[in-house]
Amino acid sequence: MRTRRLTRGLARLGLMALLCSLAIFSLSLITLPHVISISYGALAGGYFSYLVVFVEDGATLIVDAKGDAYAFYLLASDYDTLVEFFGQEANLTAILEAAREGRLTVLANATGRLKGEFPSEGTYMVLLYVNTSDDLAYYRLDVRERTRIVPAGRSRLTAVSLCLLGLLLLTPMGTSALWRRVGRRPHT
Amino acid sequence: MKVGGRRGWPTLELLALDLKEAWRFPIPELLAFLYVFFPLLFAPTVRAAMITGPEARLLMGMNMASGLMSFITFIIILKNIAYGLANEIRKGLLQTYLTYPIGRGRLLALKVFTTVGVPVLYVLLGIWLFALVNLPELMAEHLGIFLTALAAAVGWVLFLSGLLLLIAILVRRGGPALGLGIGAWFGLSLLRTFLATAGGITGQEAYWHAYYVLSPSTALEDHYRSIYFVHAGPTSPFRPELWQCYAYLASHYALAASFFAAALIYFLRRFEPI
Repeated sequence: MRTRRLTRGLARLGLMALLCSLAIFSLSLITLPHVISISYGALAGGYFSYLVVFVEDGATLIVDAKGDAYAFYLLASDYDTLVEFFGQEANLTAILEAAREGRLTVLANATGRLKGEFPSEGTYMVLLYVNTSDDLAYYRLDVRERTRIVPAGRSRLTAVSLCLLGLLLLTPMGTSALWRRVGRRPHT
Repeated sequence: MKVGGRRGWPTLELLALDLKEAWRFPIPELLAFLYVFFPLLFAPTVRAAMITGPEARLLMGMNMASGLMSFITFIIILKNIAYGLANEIRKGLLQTYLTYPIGRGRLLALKVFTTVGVPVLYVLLGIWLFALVNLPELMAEHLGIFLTALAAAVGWVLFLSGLLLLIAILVRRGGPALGLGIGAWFGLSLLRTFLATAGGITGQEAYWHAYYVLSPSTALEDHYRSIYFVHAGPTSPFRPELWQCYAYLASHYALAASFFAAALIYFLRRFEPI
């Protein structure tokens, strides 16, 4: 009776592990684009602004930025460099100088419109937009990220581990049930 | 096999009985699925929004994982303690349990494990799997912070559970215990919001100290929060030191332990089933 109760308890834990594995595996199959920022605005002549996003390894940043008088730059950086140039008072001259020196990687730049998809290897990306005219000018930003809901490699490894654990915990109840069925002699 | 001497088997017997009654198939299995599925479903948004240092990224992810399921956790605990336990007292089921050859302290401990321990294990499972899948490097690199944040996330569940347990044992009726439990839950949530808002408006540190005692996970997050980028919501005028975060956490657990201790003392000395 006690053994049966124990195997039943283990089997229920095993079923839980299998369901956790199913939850993780099903999410690892789905890739979805999600909105980072959709915004409209205006900057005075000579002013600039920026949007910082952490784009994880394997994800893609989808950018569609428009503004007639604007210069758009998409920069990639590590956290320390990001803090150095964008953390406190951001200085456009210093940022552009760092981009020229290669301390900030320029992934793309365009005037008037920047549109494209930019895959990432796990970096911070900065969309910098500068009003190059002398007057107030309007811009429109549409920034999205396309990524797996959970990272494929790690999540599938976790799902497989949980699945094996679940099967292992289900084994005692399964074998004892099989034993009872096989071991039962037919009535003569 | 000897488990805790002669008194071990009745305790285990009662625990098995209680677990079987409180967690019938397939509720725990479905809850395990939900506790893993929902935090992970919102993981990309959290990962993209984390423009901050590595420790704060880990903490934000963990807070999100526990926060998303906190409503369900409290509903389960309310159902288990305020409704389940109080009704067991009301219907005389607890009197039957008291006839078992185990002490009152043991009986209450196993009741606490069934009603509070199991939901706490779900919370731990949800956070751990979220961090393991999304932030394994950060989890390994900052294991101390991870464990402290885990204790902080569980602390609020224990705090509220202790209060609900005390109410259920004092009131001894399912309906009123449920009503008072919901009232205590909303009251404490409102108090936390009030303290943060008042601290933000007046800038007085006393409000923030009180707020962090009730919410030690926020103290940890504020300690590691980046000073460079925009922070949404009320902002503390001071940054808590790490030792202060540990002090808030210890105070939080001391309060939670005092509720459990009061419930235990009352149950041992003065409790009489209806």
